Amino acid sequence: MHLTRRVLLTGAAAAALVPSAVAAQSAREKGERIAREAAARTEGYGDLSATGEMILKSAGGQTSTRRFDVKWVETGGGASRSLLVFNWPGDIRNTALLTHSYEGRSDDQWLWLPSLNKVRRISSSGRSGSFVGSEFAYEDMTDQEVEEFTHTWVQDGAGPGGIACHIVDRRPKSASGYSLQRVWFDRQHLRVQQVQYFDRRGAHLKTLRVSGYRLYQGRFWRAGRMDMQNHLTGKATTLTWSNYRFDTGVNPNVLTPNALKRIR
Amino acid sequence: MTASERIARLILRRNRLWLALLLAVLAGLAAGLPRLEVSSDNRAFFGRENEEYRQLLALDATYADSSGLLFLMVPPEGTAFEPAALEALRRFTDAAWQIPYVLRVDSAANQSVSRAEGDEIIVEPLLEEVTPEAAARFEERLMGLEEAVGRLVAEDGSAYGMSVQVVLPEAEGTTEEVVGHVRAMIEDWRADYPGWEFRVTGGMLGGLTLEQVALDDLLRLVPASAAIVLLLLVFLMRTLVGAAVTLAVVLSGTVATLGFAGWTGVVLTAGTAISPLSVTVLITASSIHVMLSWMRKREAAGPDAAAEEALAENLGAVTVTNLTTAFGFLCLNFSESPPLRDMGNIIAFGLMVGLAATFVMLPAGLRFDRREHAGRIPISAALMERLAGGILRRWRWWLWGFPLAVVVALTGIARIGYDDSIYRYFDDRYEFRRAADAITEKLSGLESMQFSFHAPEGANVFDPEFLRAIDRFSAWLEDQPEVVSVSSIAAILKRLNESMNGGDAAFRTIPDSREANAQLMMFYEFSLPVGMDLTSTIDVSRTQTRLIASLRVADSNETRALADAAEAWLAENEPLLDAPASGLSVAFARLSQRNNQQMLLGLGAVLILISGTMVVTLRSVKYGAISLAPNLVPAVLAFGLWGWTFRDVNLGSTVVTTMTFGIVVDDTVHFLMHYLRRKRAGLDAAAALRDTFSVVGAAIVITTLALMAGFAVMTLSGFVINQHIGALTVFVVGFAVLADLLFLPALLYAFRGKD
Repeated sequence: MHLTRRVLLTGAAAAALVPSAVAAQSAREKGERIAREAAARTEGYGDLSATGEMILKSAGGQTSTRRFDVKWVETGGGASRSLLVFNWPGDIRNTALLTHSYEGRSDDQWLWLPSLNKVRRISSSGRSGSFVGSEFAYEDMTDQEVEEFTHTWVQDGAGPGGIACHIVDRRPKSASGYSLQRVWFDRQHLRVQQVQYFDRRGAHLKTLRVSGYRLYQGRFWRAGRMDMQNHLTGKATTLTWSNYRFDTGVNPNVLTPNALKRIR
Repeated sequence: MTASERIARLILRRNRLWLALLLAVLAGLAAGLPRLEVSSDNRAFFGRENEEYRQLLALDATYADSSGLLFLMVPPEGTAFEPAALEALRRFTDAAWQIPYVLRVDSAANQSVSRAEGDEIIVEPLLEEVTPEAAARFEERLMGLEEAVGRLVAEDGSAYGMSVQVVLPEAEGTTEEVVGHVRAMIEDWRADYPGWEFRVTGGMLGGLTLEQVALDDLLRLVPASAAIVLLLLVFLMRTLVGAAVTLAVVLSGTVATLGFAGWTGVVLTAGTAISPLSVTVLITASSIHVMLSWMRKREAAGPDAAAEEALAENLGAVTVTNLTTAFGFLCLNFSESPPLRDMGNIIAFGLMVGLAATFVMLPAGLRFDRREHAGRIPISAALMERLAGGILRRWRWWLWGFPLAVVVALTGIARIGYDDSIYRYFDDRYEFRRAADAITEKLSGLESMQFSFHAPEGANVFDPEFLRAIDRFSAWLEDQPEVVSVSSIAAILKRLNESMNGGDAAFRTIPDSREANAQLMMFYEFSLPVGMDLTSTIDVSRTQTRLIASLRVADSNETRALADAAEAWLAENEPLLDAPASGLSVAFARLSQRNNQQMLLGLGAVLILISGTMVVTLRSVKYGAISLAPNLVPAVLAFGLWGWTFRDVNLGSTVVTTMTFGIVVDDTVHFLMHYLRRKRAGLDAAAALRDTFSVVGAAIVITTLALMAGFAVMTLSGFVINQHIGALTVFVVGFAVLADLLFLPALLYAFRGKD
């Protein structure tokens, strides 16, 4: 905890040492530029599907597994839709989470509960809470909207495994579960390598490490593995991605609340 | 020359050598003092093998483990729902999120409430923005929220509660960091909101209060008791030299007790920190015997000869009495509770070093009192002889009076119950207790009871039959008068099912399939804000879930009775649910009972050990048997009186009988040894009794006064366990002097002929 505080203070001190507001402005500009460029490199995939497996670990070492298939489809203008269907545990099989993301406003989400035969909208307050009991919030699993944050470049430095990175702080413009996220983008491909999450009181709450990147279609880097460690509770979640498939021809019109009922 | 005389001469003639040796040992023990640690763990009272404690550890391992803080915020009367108060409430909630290591905050402002609106279920905090209309709506919705009333808001709407969960890292000083932050925060609130009342309680504060009590007792009561017994000594016996040397002896005993604790890694707690008090008082009693003997010898001999004779006369009796006292304390090892075991061991050790110090320092020191009439025996031999005469005239009264008193006492003992609770262990000089009382009065009780249920083989917690069984059990619990509220996943699922069906109360039931329940719970999980998840209620593998009932009880007898009744009800009615009542409240409620069962073994052991010692010392089975009566009667009378006056006992009381047995026996030893010496010298029973009264009567009365005064100081502790040990010991010692001076002579007289 002390260490983190020191890191933050060092960052603040470094910022204070920079002689003028111009330099501060340029750190802000540089941060925004890196974030926008990173986001741009993930866009334009058309549609995509993958399988995710989450292994939840309690502080005592017990584990539990969740498995799901996800489809994403871009609908133009920075908007996208995704459908996440659970396979495991058996009693939530075919339960599905539909998300419509828009540029510049908050997402809409619906949950399809097959055994109750009901579709229910999820109100936005829950989006920063735990995703199916894991250490991930829903917002941690997905690419973040550049517009929802202010970005400040902190410095360039080594990330996990010594990869040369840009370190950028992003602060939420509206209510969030975090006060600050510190992101390590590798300099070569601007892929997220690591994120440190700071809670409302500024304490280092969680760390995400992203690894196993593979290049698809010669231009899209996708992660194979995401490890989230909660430093407060000692709990951890490993999310493994597999079966990435691009351009399978997902019809965005299938990803609507009314169409959810057809999943069985 | 007898063996005692030879040893006495050896001690006094080479006194500097012995003194140097003793001081070297004390210096070695004193080096252990810096290692002393004071515990702030409110679970320190449980032994590793205690069943309830093991259940507690299992709960910690199964569910998310965190410590709670509970805040009480009382606005000026009648203003609780005014916009200003609601603004304040929001500020308190935001401030709570700044507490170090905070995991979640529950207040009336941030409670998530769900409502059905068409196809949408809206989950939102109860208080988002403060407007007059929002304020009016807030009151109505909050008071209608079953799980908030009594926990986050008082039933009459006059006060707010806030619950904060903190995950303490396993590092030094984190408790202090959290508590320091919380206290500073409350100071800020007090300054900014005059007219409001703020209280906070929780396990961490309980632990720190235990630490505070340990220090208060050690630093205030131990010196106070030493001062009182020494003043008593000066006042009754008029010897400053004697008092000064006794002070040195007592200091040796204290250093030995604490140094031994330091070296052996005994962590001081509220129960053990006061141990030097017992050592001080008991060593003073031994010193009194040596000093009185010395004063008698001075009437005929010079200072040096008197010192040697006094030492020789007391060597045997004082050694035996200290050994029996140490046996009594060592038998506390039968206790389940580590602090009580530690207390027994460090006191026994301190007594042995104190005994050595008494022999090495006291007679040698008394030689410096070279006055013509050294000291004064405050109770004249003639007075004691007259007392003996009076007792012998009415010996049948005393012979039958005591058994009658025992019968009356047994009816008092039948009234005794056990009351153990981490809150009621402190009296109201500590803010922890005052806060607990205020919170209990305004909000719910602080005590709770948990049941961790395993889903049937092959199923998980979403099994409908399993959930319905939990629901029926919740309903039974809610019907019990002590239960304030019950929380379980059954209640959550019923409410969700209702919301899912447009708020139709007919759907306030558990859905019929495991899938439906799992999916409802998943929906609920998606709606929970940061910090809230199900891991405090459902285990990771989803095969165990816990139900928590919060209780409002007057004492832990009620907690224990409810726990027993709940377990019996489950065994009889719900074959699917098999779990013991557990949690900290239940563990404390059952602690004394368990400890008492263990201590019966301890009492048996001390009875056998001490009676054996008596038979060997007195060289007579008959008198060994007779000695049992005056030794057992005082504890019975003391607990009888307690049953008719204070009524409930606690963990501390369960060890008093065993612990005091070794103390009570001392006077019997002095009395019987002298009586038999005279009787074997050819005196008849009446004459031997009169002589015994004139020689040891005064010593018995004075040592008893010192013991009573010293242990009475223990009742000034703010820690109820120590209060009870102190008060009961005063009772026992008081009844013991009556038994030794009234009952024992009558017994000896009744059985005089058959020797």
